[in-house]
Amino acid sequence: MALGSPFRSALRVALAVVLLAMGLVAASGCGRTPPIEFPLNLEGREPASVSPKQAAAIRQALTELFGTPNEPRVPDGVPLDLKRLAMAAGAVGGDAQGRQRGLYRRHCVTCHGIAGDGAGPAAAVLDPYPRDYRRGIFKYTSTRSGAKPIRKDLQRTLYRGVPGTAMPSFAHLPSEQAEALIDYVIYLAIRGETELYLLQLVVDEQSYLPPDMDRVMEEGVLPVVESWLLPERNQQEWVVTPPPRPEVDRPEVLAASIAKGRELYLAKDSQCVKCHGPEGDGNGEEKELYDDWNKPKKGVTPEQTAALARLFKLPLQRLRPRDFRKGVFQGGSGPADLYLRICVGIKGTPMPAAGPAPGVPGPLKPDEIWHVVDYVRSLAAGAPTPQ
Amino acid sequence: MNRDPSSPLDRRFPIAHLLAWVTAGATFPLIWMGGFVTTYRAGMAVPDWPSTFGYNLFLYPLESWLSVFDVFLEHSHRLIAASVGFLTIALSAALWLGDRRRWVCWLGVVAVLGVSFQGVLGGLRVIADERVLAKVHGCTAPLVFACLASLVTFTSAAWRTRRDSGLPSSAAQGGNAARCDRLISVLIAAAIYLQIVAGSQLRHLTPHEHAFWFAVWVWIHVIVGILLLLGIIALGVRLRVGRGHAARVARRGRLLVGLMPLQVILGAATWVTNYGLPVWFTENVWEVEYTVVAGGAWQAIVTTAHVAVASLLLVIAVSLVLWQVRLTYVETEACGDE
Ligand code: HEC
Ligand code: HEC
Repeated sequence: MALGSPFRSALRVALAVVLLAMGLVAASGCGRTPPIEFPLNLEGREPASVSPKQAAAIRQALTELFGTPNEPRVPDGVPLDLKRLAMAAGAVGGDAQGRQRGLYRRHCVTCHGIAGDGAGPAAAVLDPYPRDYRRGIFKYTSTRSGAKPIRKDLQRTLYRGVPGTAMPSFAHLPSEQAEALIDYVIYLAIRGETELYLLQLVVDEQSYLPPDMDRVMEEGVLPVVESWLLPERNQQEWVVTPPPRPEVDRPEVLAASIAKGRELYLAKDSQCVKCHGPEGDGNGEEKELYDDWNKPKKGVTPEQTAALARLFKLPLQRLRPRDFRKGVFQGGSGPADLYLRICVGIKGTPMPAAGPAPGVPGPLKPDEIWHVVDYVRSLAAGAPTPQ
Repeated sequence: MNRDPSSPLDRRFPIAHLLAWVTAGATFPLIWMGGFVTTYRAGMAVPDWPSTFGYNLFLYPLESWLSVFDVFLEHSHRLIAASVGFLTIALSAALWLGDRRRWVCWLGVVAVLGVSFQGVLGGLRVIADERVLAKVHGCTAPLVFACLASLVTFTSAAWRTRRDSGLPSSAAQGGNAARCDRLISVLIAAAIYLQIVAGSQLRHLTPHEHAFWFAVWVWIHVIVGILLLLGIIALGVRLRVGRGHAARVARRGRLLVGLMPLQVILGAATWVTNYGLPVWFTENVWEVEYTVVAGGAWQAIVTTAHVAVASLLLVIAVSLVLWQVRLTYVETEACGDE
């Protein structure tokens, strides 16, 4: 037995490990990645209920209007900057001057998915799930209930991130890149809502194929675009700017405000207790809460829920009313942020708007909202509850 | 010592051994740089290969190289890679000139082929803009590192002459217990590599991948990680000099035991800096506010360190296995000879 022996055993070990590894890599899907295209939104539908012809017609109409993930396009009248969209879309890359392409695929796609469906490859293990933009609903806005966010709201989300969730802060991005990404998010949202319209037209209403594109523009695209423009154009009416916060610089003034806030919080009118509990720890009597993206996955019986699961990409996920004592506020923990959350609510969730709106007094008046903000913040800071 | 297979010249000037050290040593920063390229998603910062924006790799102007961060990462990665390539060729040449063991010479050739293959993979990943190739490129890097590191071992004086500070004396060395120790080490090396493969699945996500697979790989990565931690601690306990193990074997066991907890912490931190704190943690363990910062320093350093330490663990485990095998043969051969 010569010097070959140790070598041979070592070689055998190395070989086994390498083979194992290669097998694993192969098993995990060697071969080329399929071309990138927008998947059709079949959430909540039996795949068989959409015939191949209908699917093709919807795809074609969408491509005609919005282009592809590599070459986005917008119909006339959609106020999005094509140059910015081109920068956000397509494959990741850059040039010698550092100009970027493919920003969305570089920074967002792993969570939000190619069509903005919120079901990217990393989505299933996250709680809450990444946002599905295709309903055009965004949670953290300064706009009144039912309204789209204004650009500034999306900017705020992108810069700050969503604390306590997987949504990162992109404060490191140069502003032109952030703006391009915001355009792209709005683009995906408008495209997504148009897709929902087309599904209804083509599948639910069984309209003739191919769909009449003038009608699609008229009834599908333009109303959606209009809904995005509305709050931007009529900020007076649709955007809430928190009024100046009452002075609470002296401890006894603050304590009084907190006490008043607690009273309002516990009052029946405001309903806060129903979900957030009398202690503000998120333990209200309402335990079965779901956001708009998960509600359709919930059947009346557990059997129904299990049967529905098949029709969705991601399993049902519960929504927890915020536990204020943790001090983690997803829409931001500054007083003005909390004012907005309580005043206009959190869209797409059961968290209601408690502030006044034109024509509706609402359970809380502006100065009352400030008191509740002080109370919520006092819980977050760990202050003992005033008796 | 008359069995020393190296030439007298090589024994006096251990060029090959020194070169092996330098080459393997340069591979570690290379892996860091490659890790940064992936962490910052800068893999396509330079769209051509082997040229850089049309320039010869070595002639790309310094100010352009340094002015764009993504380009800086990618181009630096290529430059270090090229240096490792030349070093490996020099090492192979030194082996053929100075080492009489043909298998070591051929292993030098394997190293050259491995480094070249790895370079071409990296190039193809850019030319075809293919995430799958990026994944394979990331998985073969630690293998090449291990190959170069094993050449350090094979060219060392201790290996050639079968000298060791604490030659195993106990009968356990050749017996069942030793066989068991070796088996554990081999399993640990294999499991470390499995973790590297699983980790690369988590790092290189293609947009169309179904969310289900990511979850599966996360679970594999976590469960194997925990088993690995326990296995390495058990191995560390077994590989004591007091149990008849050579000092250098025990030392490698201790290195693994020291690095593995660090790696587990880095792994957890990698999750948090990329995906935030899980709900079960903030609900049950520690209520703390944390916001992920994309492209932040923590995210970049922690994630890349997790990748780099993984390959370091693999190299140590491979070296441990090699020495265990080697010392077993020392024992049995010595018994046979005398
Ligand atoms: C690591 C995963 C992840 C990445 C990467 C990511 N997001 Fe998110 N994003 C989330 C999660 C999770 C939420 C949901 C937060 C919630 O519901 O409170 C979210 C929510 C959002 C929202 C909705 C906010 C609201 O008011 O409803 C927007 C807009 C958004 N992300 C944009 C982006 C953009 C643009 C990028 C890329 C630059 C990106 N995200 C990258 C995980 C991610
Ligand atoms: C129908 C149930 C419900 C009611 C009533 C309700 N909330 Fe909420 N609230 C929620 C849910 C659910 C969330 C978490 C939403 C999410 O994470 O998307 C929430 C979140 C919050 C947040 C956290 C905002 C952030 O940025 O993280 C605050 C503050 C809050 N609620 C205050 C109140 C106050 C004050 C009232 C009473 C005026 C109230 N809520 C009434 C369900 C409710």
